Amino acid sequence: MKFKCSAAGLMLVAGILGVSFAPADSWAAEKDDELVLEVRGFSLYAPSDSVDAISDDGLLQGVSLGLGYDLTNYVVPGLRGYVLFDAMGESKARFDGAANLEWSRQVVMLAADYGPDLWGMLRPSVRLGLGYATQKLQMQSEGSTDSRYEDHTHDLAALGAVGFELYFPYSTDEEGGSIFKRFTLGVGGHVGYMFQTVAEFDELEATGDSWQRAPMNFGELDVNGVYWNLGLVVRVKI
Amino acid sequence: MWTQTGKWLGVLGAATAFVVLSAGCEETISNAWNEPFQISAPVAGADELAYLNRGFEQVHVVSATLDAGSAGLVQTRLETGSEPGKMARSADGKTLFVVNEGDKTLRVYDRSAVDSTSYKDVVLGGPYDRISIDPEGDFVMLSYTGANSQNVIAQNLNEIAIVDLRAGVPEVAEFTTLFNRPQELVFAPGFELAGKTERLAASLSPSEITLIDLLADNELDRLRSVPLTISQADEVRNPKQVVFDTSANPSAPDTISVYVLTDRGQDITQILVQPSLRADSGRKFDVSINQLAAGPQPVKMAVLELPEVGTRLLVLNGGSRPAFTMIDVASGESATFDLPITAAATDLLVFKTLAAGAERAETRVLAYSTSSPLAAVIRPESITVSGDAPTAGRTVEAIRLRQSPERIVMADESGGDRAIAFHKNNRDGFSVINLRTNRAIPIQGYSLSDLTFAGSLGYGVFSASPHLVVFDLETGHPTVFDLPAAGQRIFVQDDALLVQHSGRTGRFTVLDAAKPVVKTARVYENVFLEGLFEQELP
Repeated sequence: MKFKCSAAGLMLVAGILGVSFAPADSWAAEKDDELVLEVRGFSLYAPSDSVDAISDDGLLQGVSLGLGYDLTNYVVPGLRGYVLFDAMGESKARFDGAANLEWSRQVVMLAADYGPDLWGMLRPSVRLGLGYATQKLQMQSEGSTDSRYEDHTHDLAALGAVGFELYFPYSTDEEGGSIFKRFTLGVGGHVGYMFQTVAEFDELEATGDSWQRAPMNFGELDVNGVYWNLGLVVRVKI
Repeated sequence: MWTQTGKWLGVLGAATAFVVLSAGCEETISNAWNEPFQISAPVAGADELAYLNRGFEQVHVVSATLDAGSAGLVQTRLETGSEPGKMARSADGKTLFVVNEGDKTLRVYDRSAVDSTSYKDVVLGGPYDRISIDPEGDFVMLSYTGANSQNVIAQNLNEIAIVDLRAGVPEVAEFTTLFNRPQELVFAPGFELAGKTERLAASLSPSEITLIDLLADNELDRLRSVPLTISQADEVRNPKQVVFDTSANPSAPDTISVYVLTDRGQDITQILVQPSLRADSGRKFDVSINQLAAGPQPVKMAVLELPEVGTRLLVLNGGSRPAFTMIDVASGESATFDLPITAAATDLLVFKTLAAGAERAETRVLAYSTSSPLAAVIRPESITVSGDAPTAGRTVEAIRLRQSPERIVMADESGGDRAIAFHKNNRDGFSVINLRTNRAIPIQGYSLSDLTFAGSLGYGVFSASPHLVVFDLETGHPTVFDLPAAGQRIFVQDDALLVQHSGRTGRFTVLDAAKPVVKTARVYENVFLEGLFEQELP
């Protein structure tokens, strides 16, 4: 836990420093259009006490997928547009198994990512995103085999982050060449803050029998917090 | 210049973010999230049930409602102090008491106040784990069981705390060290001696009773020790039952009696308390002791005030022979009689009933054993202690039940005419006892787990069947309704039936008592988890 947070801190330092100290000539001029594909492990640290019910340490884990397009030739050099998808979930048996909680969240975002290419192998960047989040909570209590309570929420989400991409030696062959020369593989990560409107789980409805069951109210779940991700990046020249 | 500024702002931002991330992730959650849910048995009030949730340090108060035939459940949460231990309610149901063992305080909630969550704390100075409530609402006494020795550094087990509520809730309790560790504290009802109102309580200890004068104005009068054995070297006698008799007694004016039944011997100890006759004694009361012969192995007793007869003690005898002993307190004479049941009686219930053709209600005693399918109704007014042995059909009558009773409860709302016998095994059913005719109506089916009464109806739930039974106390006719799960407890509140099911997180069904059908019922599950995301657990 401590290690993870320190790693996120280091990532943040690298990202911010990278963008801050980028040489002026690194903001690439005319180049091939590119698609960028990201697959990353995703962690979010939500300090709110409301998260205690679903996490022992406030850390929520998931995966993050991103599909980006390099807009250097159309808008501003170094700018990419992204569609991001984050999915995360936690499953917890609380109070010695008296209450079993399953929580999940999916976020779809449009994001802008801005950063220079340094020496053909490093790209520090700043990312801003805005999108839609949905959460689902399922709860089953001990001894209640015939009913399961469930509620969904719909929220607005936003993020602000800095990050980096580190590539294996980047192809400069303007002619393109074989299919493998059109792909560049790298690792990348971001660290930043993810904001989301507070989710209200106030109507957990029962599934099941003919009895009229009152909905449960678990209250507000606040998953705002610092997040970081780390994974693979693939750039494809088109 | 802007480029340089941006760079240094970047350095500053990076450093800040690193520190925040590295430090902020140290947090861990409360252990209570992963510990077993510790919910107490309900403490019932007039229209509410209170459950102590030790892990949450809260009291869940739930009430059933019925609004235009629509069933509902209202929950209120009361915050306790740290490490709540015991919870109790005043006899009138309006005040709730919680002992906070961590804070060493007694939290007093006034449930009749406009703000029903308001409370006052009384400083106790110790983590007392037993609470005794004065039925008249004037005092609360707290003591140690001695059972919890973990984390105890130093604790005076003989010490009790007395909270005097007569002038409101005090800030600090009074403390007294008894001569021995109390096993139980029993309050006497208020009484008058020599024209003055007095309050006494008794502390039950091995081979000793300590009388506590709750109104004493000096330490000398506060405690009076009454030994139950001649010497400390004698075999220990543990008091099992103490009964105060504070009624006016023409044969002994200005005297009250305390009767003590112990686990050894064949007698009942009578402690007589009267105002001190000698002015130079320096004592408020004179205390004397009398031994009353109670037959073999006395197990339970009742004090009976019988018109035209006087005060009698009725004692159930243990051993192999089912018997009871009647003691004439005034003369000290006693006689032992056989009970027409097949095992020694283990419990008794005193009730009054108006016999056919009688002008006044007569005191009777129902005696039963958990090992005999027979119960006995005793008519103590007809028994002459020094005369002939009673015969079945005249003064002692047997009632045959469906099975041996696990327990018998009186249907108080029926005017003392009905009692219900719970049986042990799942398929033993239950018995409705007509105490006017001394007949039992056997009800075949599942055994009851709990029962409540409203008017002429009884409402029961079964431990092994998801059903509710409504039966007529007069005819015994049962009508069965569905429940979503087997019921553990049942209460009548505000014309609604509140059924608690098993499970630690709070499962209830609320039904219309007049028509307890599925259509108008409502199920509430995980009631104690309401607002879970908003809980800051200790």
